[in-house]
Parts: sequence; structure tokens; C-alpha cells
Amino acid sequence: MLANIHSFFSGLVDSGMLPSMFGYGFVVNAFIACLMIGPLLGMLGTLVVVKRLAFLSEAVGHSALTGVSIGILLGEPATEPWISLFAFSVLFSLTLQWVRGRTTVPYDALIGVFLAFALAMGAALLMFVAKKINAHLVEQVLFGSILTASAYDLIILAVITAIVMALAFFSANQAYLNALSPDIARSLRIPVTLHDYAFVLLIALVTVAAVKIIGAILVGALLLIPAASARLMARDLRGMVGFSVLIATTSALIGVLLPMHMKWAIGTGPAIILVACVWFIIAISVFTLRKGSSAACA
Amino acid sequence: MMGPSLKLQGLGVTIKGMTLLQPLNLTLSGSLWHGIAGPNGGGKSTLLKAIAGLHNHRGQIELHWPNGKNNIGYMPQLSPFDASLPVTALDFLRMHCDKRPVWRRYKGDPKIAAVVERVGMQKLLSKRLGTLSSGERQRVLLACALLNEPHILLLDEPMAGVDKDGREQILEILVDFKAQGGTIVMIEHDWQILQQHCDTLAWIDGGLEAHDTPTAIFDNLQAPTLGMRHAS
Repeated sequence: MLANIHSFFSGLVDSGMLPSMFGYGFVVNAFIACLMIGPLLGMLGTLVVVKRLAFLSEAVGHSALTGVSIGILLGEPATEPWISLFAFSVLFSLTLQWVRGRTTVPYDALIGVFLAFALAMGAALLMFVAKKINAHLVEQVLFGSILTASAYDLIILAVITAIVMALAFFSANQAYLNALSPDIARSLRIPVTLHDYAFVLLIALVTVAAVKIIGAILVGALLLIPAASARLMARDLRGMVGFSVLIATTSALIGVLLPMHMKWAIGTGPAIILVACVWFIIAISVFTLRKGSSAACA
Repeated sequence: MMGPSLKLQGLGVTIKGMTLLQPLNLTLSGSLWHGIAGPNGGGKSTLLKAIAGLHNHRGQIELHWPNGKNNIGYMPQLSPFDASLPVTALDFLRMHCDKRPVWRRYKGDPKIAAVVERVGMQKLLSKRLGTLSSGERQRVLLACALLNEPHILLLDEPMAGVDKDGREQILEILVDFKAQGGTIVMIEHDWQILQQHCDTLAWIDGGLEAHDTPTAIFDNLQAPTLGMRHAS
């Protein structure tokens, strides 16, 4: 199927409807990946913001670093250490949630400890990894790369997207209610604990799915910045989800394609996040202007 | 509609080693309006939460439903809400019952329309929760509690922060709910409301201190034995 898509894009390039860079398979792969990553992270990001757990997505993102290092050390292929990446991130987030329910440490402090652990562990292991593999690969793990999205990655991404979309259709209302008022949710017999575990699990899954494009250091930021910008611009929840998906998708696409088109040698992760930050500045400006005008009216 | 009766046997709540509520026995008849009062920190909300199923507890809570099991409407204590979060009153209502995910366009829901009409909150629907006054927010919370057509309402200080007109409006809704046969369990500080509307009153201070008609308890409180620590 991917071959068909590639030839479809080549056809468009030949007929002059698309720039020549779409003639490359890896660009098309990255393009498709972005079309899935955007809605995925944008949508889940709104829940992150409503739950005030921006820090959590950051911590889980950094855990990907450790996951990758362990995988490479255990002999998984350096470009796709999926097993350890999934295993470690999922284990990390579930442990975090489990400890949370059994300690009196405030959640933000607990996340801080876990974040520090993940980063320290990842950095320590990376030193060993750097001896085994090309240092350039380490950079890809940290900051993402347009070159690495393979057909296999796209399949994994598609599966996770399908899962998240299905959940968004059937459980979104319960999830938002649980985020806003756990007491009411529990009184309606909504399985609150299951929701909390499912939430951190989803964060881990989308983080892992997006880590090859965006990189371990910055993957959490694409969960946060679009939703935080959307929160400023939207008037209701539907608007917030819409803006968030729009901002995440456009950031991913522009961040991947613009440097390629302009032949800038920067990583996709930083490029994507920089575009997202431009969106954030726009959002703050819109918010300030709107607030200023309403104050003037009053 | 027939509201359920409640039978609490040896109900106690201990959280993280702290006893919030001493074991108590209490029977609340169905289709009546029961008040809960007592000093702050005495365990009123804890008792209500235990009944709503939010706390682990000792002892037994039995709800006797006359016509098969039905829904509980729980209204939590008013808490501040982030004013900048773009969640409107309509969004919040939709989360409670609408089958359509809240991020898709609202296509109307007969349940929501009915409760909006009942509570008279048409004008609040498009406003953000955080920008509503506390009286308006109480009405939204009450609407949420009424959404799933409950036969019993558990209300944690529904009049807190509500102005005089708002009180009349909420009381009217509750009187109507009781007239239809529903059971109400309500935490309330205002003696006037308790005496005027409640059929029984449970005085909670660490445990159950008294359970009688509001007037009887009020008269007792005037006497020095129980002490009038909180009778505002």
C-alpha cells in the first residue's frame, strides 16, 4: 500500500503539482506520519492541559530516552528499538500512576522525581550507547529525524491513532468529566481509576509513536504547546480540541517540510516545536488583544 | 417516582489513619427531605461522600430502591474553577450524559434540554464555567445532578454563595423534586431553610450526635447540653 502511495506522490511530482522533494520516499513517509501525529497529540494534549499534567508528558517523553538506550544495549536495531521503547515507557508511566495512589507526595513533586530519574538514567546509558553506535544516531534519538520513519513505524503509528480515535469517540466525555470533577465522575459510577491509568498509558503510547519524528527531548512539548495555545484562543471545549489539532498538525507538517524545502540542516523535532512556539505567540497575542478590547468595551 | 430509603449501619470513615467519621447508625426514609448539619470539619461532607460511594468506609450503606435500581444525583461542594479554561456550562452538561463526544458539534439532547428548562439556565449555557458567579455555578451543578433523572439527590451545601433569588429558585426545584417522590439528603447551614423544608435533621460532629425533626434539634441546641457551637 505504501508503494502505491509513493507512486501516487511521484505522479503528482512529475505533473508539477508538488515540489520535487515529495519524490523521495522518506519525505512522503514523514508527511504521512505528521498527518497522524498532529491529530493524535493535539487531541490528547487538550486532556493533558485540562488535567494540568503538562509536566507528566514531559517526563514520559524523557523516559523514551532511557527506553531507546536500553534497547540498543540489549541488541535491538538502533533505528527501531520498539520493544524496549514501548516496554520502558509503559512501565514508567504505569509505575508513576501506581506510586501516586500509594503515597502522600504531591503529584507534581512525584512527576519531578520520575522526570529526573528518566533523564539521568537515559543520559547515563547513552554514554554506553555512544560507544556502540554512530553518534549521529544518538542525535536522532534526542531530536528526531525525517529520515527514520519507515513503513513499519507508520503501521505502529496508524494502529495507535486508530486506538486513540476510537477512545476519543466513545470515552472522551467521561475522560473530560473525570479530569474536571473526579467526585462527580465517581458518583456516576465512571471507572475513575481505570481512566487515570488509561490516560498515562495513552500518553506513553503516543509519546513512543511520535518519538522518531520529534525526538525524546521535545516530544512532550507537542502534547503541551498546541493545547496550551488552543486554550487561549478557544471559547469552548470543541474549539479547544479543534484549534489544538490544527496547531499540532500544521506545526508537524511545517516543521518537517519547510527545512527540507529550504535545505536547512536542522532536526525535525526542534523545527516542529519552533513552529508550535510561533503558534503560541500568536495565541497569546490574540488573547491579549481580545482581552484588551473587551476591557475597553467595559 | 419513589425515592429510595437509606439505612446506614456502623458507617465509619477512616482515611490514611485519620478517623473522619465515627461509626454511626442512621435510617433515612424514602421520599423525604433530610438535612445534615453540624460544625465545620465535623464530617458532614465525608458522610455524604460515603453515601455517594466516593470514600472507602466501614459498615454498611443500604439503599432500598422501591422500583428497581436507579440513579443517584450527587452535587459536590462548590469549588473554584479555572476561569481561563474554555469549558462552557453546556460542555459540562454534555459530559454527563451526551452520547456524542463533547468535541463534536452539539446536536441537541432531550435530557439536557429538559434540565436546562427546569433549572432556567438557558443564558448560562455558552458561558465558561470559570466566569460564572458562584450562584450560577451552583445552578449548573444542580442541573448536572438532575441530568440522569435520579431518584435521590445528595447535595453538599447547594445554597452556598447563592443570592436570595437564587435560593428561592433552587428551593423551588427541590420542593418540586420531593413532590414527585424523590429523596433528598442535603448539607445545609441555614436554620431557616432546615426548619422550613427538612423532614428530619441529622446533627453530625465527628459522629452522629442527634437525629430528629429540625425543630426538636434546634430546641435541644438552645439548651446548654449540646452546646451551640454552630447555629448560624
